[in-house]
Amino acid sequence: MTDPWNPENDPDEADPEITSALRTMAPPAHGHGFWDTLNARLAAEAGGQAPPPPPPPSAPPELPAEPPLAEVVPLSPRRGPGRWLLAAAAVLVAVAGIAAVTRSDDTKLETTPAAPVVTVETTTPTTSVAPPEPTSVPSTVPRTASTVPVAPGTSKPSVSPTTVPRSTTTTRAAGSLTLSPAGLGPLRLGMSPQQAAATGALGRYRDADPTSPGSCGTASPTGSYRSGDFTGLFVDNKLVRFYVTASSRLSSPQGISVGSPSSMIAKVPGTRSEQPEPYGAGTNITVMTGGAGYLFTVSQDAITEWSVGTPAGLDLKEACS
Amino acid sequence: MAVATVPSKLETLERARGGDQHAFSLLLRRHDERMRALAWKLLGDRDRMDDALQEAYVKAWRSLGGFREDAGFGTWLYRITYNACMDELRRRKPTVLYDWTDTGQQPAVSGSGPEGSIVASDWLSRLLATLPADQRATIVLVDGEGFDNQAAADLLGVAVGTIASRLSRARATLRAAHREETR
Repeated sequence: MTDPWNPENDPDEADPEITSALRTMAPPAHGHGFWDTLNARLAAEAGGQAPPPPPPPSAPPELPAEPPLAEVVPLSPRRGPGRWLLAAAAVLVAVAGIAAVTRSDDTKLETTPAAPVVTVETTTPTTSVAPPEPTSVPSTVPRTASTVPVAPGTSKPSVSPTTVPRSTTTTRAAGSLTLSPAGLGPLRLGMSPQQAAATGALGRYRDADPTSPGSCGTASPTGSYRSGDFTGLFVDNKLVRFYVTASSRLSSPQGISVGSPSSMIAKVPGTRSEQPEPYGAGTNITVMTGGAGYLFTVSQDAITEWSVGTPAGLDLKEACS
Repeated sequence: MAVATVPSKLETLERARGGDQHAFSLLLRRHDERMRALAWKLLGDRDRMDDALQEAYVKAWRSLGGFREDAGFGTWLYRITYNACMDELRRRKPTVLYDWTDTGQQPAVSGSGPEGSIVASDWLSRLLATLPADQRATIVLVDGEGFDNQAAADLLGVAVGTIASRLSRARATLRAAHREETR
């Protein structure tokens, strides 16, 4: 039995040896590349509303976001007949190519009539493997013309060669991508990293062993999404949260995106709760519907960032590496 | 010179708040050792320490606009780091986190929950690993980092009485465990 008069047994008194050891418990230095990785991540964050710079070396997305058309294949600054002659010649080449494909593989032709012309007309190469994404979210990953049998983001063979790239651009309008507890495009909460990667919408998972117990990692979007659109958070081998911290392209079904007035949150059905943002950056408003929900961070009556996730995913304050 | 140092810090902070990443990095490096100390004591593993600090620093960068000067940048960053570490602890499942093969001792599989996931790299780490995460954080802050109860309460967002009770339990547990170790 504890003797309350014995100072050694008084739990309110710190043990000198333990205290001394605690105070001299020196931390190790950071691992190699810590600051380089951090600086790259900060630079990526620094873009805010602007397009983010390249991701950190330790966590590159598998594929780069689509650059502006002019950066893909710069057109001649002079506008003259030569440009159109070049296009016409390219079309002829394309037709010849299609004819060749027809002779060798009719089935393949059905899904690839527009590819060569797409490259010529728009200067935007497309992908040879269409990710299983909805047609409203076409792939935007630039590829070489030689590997482009299918229009981006769609398996429909009837897309006009001249309309494919315009369609691509149109579908990238701000707020045109809907994120909800039901998911984002082909992505669903609960997916494994492998399943998510198979959709073509999420890239490399930044954990050495995503199958290990307690693993946690994030992945950047690829395919039709830009690297700054959102971050996917995986815990225990499952996609538990989508973070949207800068991009205003993604929106909820109610039209809520980064920069929207906080009053719009009232449109979201579900059980609502509020907490102060832990670092003084405003208020966190959670709206849960069943097994998933939203977390909006509000500052000065505007939404500064938001997430969709499972309760456990939304409960994490700092994500993970 | 002290007179020059204070304006310099304020200036650096202002530049960081204005979006100057280099200035923000300077701020981080000034406070990094303290943050590492906290993360190391809470997590006990360098990779996890780095993981938590990466997230904490990125979060601080994102949230810098909401930083209120009355809190003090170091305190503010400390709280972010603390939360990042607790998230890290919360996420992890029981695992063998320390290679005991060269020590001649038995492998230690940590217990369930956050309290179990610290690396037992020395006797103190082993003792800390026996504590629930909130008690571990409290004793690390008060006895390890020199916070008074009020400051720890402010940092952790709990009442002073909560700090006192956690501290009391943590000290009692550590004292008993340490006696057991040295018996």
